[in-house]
Amino acid sequence: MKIVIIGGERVPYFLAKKFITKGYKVYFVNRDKELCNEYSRTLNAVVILGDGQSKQVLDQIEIESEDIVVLLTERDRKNFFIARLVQEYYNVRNVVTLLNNSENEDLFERYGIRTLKVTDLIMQNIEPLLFENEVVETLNDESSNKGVTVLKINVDWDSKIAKKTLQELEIPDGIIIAGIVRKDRYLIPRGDTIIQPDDKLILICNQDKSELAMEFFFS
Amino acid sequence: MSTDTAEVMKLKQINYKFYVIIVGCGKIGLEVAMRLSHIGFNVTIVEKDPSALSLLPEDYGGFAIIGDAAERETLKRAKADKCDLLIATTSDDPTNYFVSLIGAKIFGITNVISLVKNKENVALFEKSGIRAISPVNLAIETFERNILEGVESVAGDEK
Repeated sequence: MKIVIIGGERVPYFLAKKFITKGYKVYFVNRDKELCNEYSRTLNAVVILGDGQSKQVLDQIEIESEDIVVLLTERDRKNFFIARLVQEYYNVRNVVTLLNNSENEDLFERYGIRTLKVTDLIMQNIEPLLFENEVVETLNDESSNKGVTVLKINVDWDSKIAKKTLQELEIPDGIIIAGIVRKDRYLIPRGDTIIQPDDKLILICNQDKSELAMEFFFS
Repeated sequence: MSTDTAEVMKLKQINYKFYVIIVGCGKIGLEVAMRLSHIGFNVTIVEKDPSALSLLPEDYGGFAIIGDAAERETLKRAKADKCDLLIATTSDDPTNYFVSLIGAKIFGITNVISLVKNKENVALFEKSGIRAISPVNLAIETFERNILEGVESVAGDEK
């Protein structure tokens, strides 16, 4: 079984290294001459300079149906096209491709092409941050000039309030915890919720209580 | 204007406004759009580059949409769900293939025709249910026909 990696820049290098240590034969197809030169010197792989969407280039590899084809070019349409070429010409069963625009997933799925949704992966990592930001902004918009303030507090590892339930904390009047951002989730706290180090607390309090709140949660 | 062919006359009699989306406003896309709109089809051109659309003559009777046809939102704006025929005319085979299949499989367009630049790709397009038009193949066939006709007439003269 061969691994055929088409396109990409740095990712194929590290991918190829991993496959090679596992004992697979790796083929690398790229249009970039310098990259090909570099990889043919540094990798124990067959490096082919050429356009992966050309049959003449692909024919050099003698792809067989049990081989794995990994597509890493920058464009969904190009990856799709090459995936379909190797499926039709060599009956390749396993094709994995990078997918930039996740709305295209349905089309790839239809043809049994496996996708790695890069954009979604990045978004999933950023979304909690955005979410926290949006919550605070919305609360701020709603509460501005109404005598109420929104505060964001990070819970340190050595914080006094960490590892305690809200009940145990005895939070002063006029201050409530509106939400807790924990890793990638937003929790609506209850009395028995335990505050963890690294949590972010979103507080709502009367304007005249904001100093008290800061004191209470930071001391 | 040139006189209508028999096929066109037939279409006009049916009195159904055929809706055609043409992807790409290059030399071929533009000319096809002009002709189809003159015949009386409803035509929308989808083109990524605004400056290419400026080449459309003033008497073009159809619509034009700026956007990448490989993005769903663009084809939705072009009302691809109401489209009778999709014609892909960009100069890039992967783009034509991709757009054709989004049209056929996602928007359910039954008739899809595509320009195919590299003739070795014709098989893949046709296998996927796309009618492929290869300018290279057309040129080769035309040359062949012309040459054979020439040979026949020479052979006929010699009898």
